[in-house]
Amino acid sequence: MSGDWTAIWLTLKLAVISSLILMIIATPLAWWLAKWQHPAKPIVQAVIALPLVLPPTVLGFYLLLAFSPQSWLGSGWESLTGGQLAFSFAGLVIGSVIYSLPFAVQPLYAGFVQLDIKYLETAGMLGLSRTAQIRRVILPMVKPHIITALGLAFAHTLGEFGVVLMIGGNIPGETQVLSISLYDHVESLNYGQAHQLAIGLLIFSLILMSLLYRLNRKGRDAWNSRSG
Amino acid sequence: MNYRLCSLSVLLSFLLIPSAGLADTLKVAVAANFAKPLEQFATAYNEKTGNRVIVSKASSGTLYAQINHGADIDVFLSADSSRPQQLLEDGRVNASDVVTYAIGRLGYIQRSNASPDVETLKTFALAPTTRLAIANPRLAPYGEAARQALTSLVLWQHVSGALVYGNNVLQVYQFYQSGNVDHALLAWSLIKGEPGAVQLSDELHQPIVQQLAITATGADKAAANAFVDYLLSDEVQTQLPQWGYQRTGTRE
Repeated sequence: MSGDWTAIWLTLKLAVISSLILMIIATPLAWWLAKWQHPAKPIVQAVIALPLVLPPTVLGFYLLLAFSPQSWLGSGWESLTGGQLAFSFAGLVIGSVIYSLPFAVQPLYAGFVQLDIKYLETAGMLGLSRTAQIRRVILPMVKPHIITALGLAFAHTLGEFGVVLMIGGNIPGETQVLSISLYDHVESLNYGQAHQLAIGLLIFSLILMSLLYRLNRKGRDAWNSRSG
Repeated sequence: MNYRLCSLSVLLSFLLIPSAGLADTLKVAVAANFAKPLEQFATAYNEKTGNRVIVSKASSGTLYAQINHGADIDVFLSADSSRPQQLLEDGRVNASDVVTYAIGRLGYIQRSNASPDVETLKTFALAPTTRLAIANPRLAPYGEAARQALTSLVLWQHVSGALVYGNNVLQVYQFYQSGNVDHALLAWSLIKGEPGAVQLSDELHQPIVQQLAITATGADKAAANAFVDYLLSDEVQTQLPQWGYQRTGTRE
């Protein structure tokens, strides 16, 4: 069971770090995407949405090839840090960020698209500075979308399995996350322990998602209200 | 509209009909390491008898779980003896339904030495600079054998911090092939004949006893028995060494 606690801690760490990085990447990306008009836009949107439809093993497979010391990414990382990307926590973070990207970008995109430019123009006319506009106009208006993006990115990373299975190498404390630990228990016929982990993850995810929808009750239908 | 619905349901019902009537189609589930030889034996068996064998491969643990939950499998070839024995304990099969079909061997593959031996492994594992991939000892018999071999060579302590675990031997091989590890211990059957590969002595680990269980019931049982008899026949067993396995005795 102590191994399971290590796995739980590692999974939370991965989900927190990945979702924070995702917010840093996804916010400007979604903003730019919401303003950008170009014939190539659907292609960019499709690329971001790919992890939604592709089996995680496809991503895992390409990451495994990209992480190898023979590739530019793997060798570049090795000369920078001296370490290897495959079988490392950093590698899992990279995998998770790509894997959960659409879950962060799409809600934010929907929020930014909804944002009426008139409010910003009015705020500008009233003399609000650019940062004040962001803080007092944009943020309150897209807050439900930010919460949704953060929550979904976090929850999705918690449940990540296929990618980690391919690039993790199952190292306790480094890459053995909850879903892998659970899989090990099932495979080695430890159904009791598997059940404990599975029910724990299920309840935790249920609470998390319920909280998310509760927080967003005011911004009802915020999830994909424009895009979906 | 009605016509469309009609043709759709006809199509669907075709898809849902089990391949009934093909009494002599056997469903065989095999542990990943033995999939390649089994597919070849199945083809030969088909040519010989006209009976079709459908092979599905996964890890032994997954296959066991599927069978335990009612999967329609006639013969289960495990990578170990513990899962077939477990089916026996569960009362799912009889003692006569469980039999050894091959003995596995452990191999070592690496990139630095063209003709390696056990000393190559020792030199590397005493002061590992890169990772060594083995199958997960908890899940895979070849992983357990690798752990035992490293322990007998008094290397376990030195190398345990540098290990990465594959889910099964095929994943270990994939870690090696993709260039993410330069050293791996895995089934000899997978790496036999490759550059940089060497078979490790059988004395370094407990025998990797690969057993099968006949899980077929009723009418399929005879067909399953016939196929198992073929697998245990001299014709098949004498081919096992060239696949990287040791042959086994005859069925009791």
